[in-house]
Amino acid sequence: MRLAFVSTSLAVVAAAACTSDPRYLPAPTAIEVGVDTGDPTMPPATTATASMTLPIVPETMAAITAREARQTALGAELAYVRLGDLDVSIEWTVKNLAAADGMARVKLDGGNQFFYYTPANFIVDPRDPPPPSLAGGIPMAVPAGGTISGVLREDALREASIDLEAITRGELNPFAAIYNVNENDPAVPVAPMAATTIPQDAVSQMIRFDVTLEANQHMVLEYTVRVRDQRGILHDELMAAPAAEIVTFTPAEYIPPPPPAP
Amino acid sequence: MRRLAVVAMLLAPTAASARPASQGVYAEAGLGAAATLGKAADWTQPGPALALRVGYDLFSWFSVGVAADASTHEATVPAPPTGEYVQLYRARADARLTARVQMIALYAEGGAGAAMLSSNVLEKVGVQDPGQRFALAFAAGGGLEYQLQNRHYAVGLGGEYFLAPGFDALAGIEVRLFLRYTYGGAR
Repeated sequence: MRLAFVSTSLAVVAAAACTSDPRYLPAPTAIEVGVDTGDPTMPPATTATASMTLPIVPETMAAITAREARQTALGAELAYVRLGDLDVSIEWTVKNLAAADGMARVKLDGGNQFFYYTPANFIVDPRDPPPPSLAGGIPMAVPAGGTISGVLREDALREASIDLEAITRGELNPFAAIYNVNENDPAVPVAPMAATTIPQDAVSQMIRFDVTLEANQHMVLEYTVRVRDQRGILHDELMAAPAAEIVTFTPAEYIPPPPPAP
Repeated sequence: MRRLAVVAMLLAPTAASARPASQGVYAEAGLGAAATLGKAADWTQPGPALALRVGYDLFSWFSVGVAADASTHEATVPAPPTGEYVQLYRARADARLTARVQMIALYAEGGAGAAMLSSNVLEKVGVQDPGQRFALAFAAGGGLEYQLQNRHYAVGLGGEYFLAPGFDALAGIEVRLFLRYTYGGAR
């Protein structure tokens, strides 16, 4: 009886304490658009982007060995940080500093260890709209002097990682990748024409987040990146981590191959 | 007058006054609420708390033990983020003085240990330094126990004040109802 009482109590506390606790990474800077330039020939900017890369500790030798063994088995290069290692969401707040109502969009693009995605790179004809961002992009009304808040959820960012992998290494059309929900796909292409595919838990995780604010009034976007570190690879000091103790990721800007000649 | 009568009833030497209470190793589990005080109260809302204590009665009036507390609070830091929760875990070694009057026991306790915050959400308001999760913590409090007819069991109401100087002097109070089980012979 005594043992049952104590062990049950301890189990409750242990269960509560062992869940993956979130870490919050503040944005490096607020994003402000619509600032009056004071020059009538220079209209205020309506869009601005800030980029943040997660502070990840270097890969251990054991992890490298395990990754290389899996690479051999799958026949594809694998990223150090893969889907499921981190659950990421982005919480944001937009303040309308103008005296008039306005519209705003919060968009998320970014990159994994290999590539980062820039929608404008996919514009073939300047009259065409760019493809969508990996997440967000919904127009929202912001009243004069008002504030709105929102979240780019973990499932949306997980889907964004899958789409990014398919668009870049898989060379899938961004419209097809982003407008289709792939969260239940058993495999993700990492070579053109899906010549090579990998399971979802081998897909590269986004580690760079490019947050964009588009607005037609003077507005400020503040955001916080919330990370649940399932693998213990986030540096304890987060954005204050010394540069020598974190991985310097240098993803390449993804430039799609030119469209086939007509 | 009625209050006096109730007190007199409690203190009167009745059959219940002979109620035995075990002395020895004991465990306590409690549920209650915790709230931060001072400027930290702006950043965390009161929330539910769970408390555990394991101890040993060296004498009928003095015991030593270890205690652990967990409480969860909504973090009301400037947005973003909004609607997030943070858990405060505390563990300590402590000592307890008990004064027993028939089936009622009053106690006072105090100890020192460590506190841990589950996330860094309070870093934004300066409660935590970058990368800080742990801090030294102190707690002191008291309460009241009611001995049940079974000599192993008692129920009680306790409260304590806690202070974690390393978390920007984060302080608070916790109030809990608890059940105590003592393994051992009668006092």
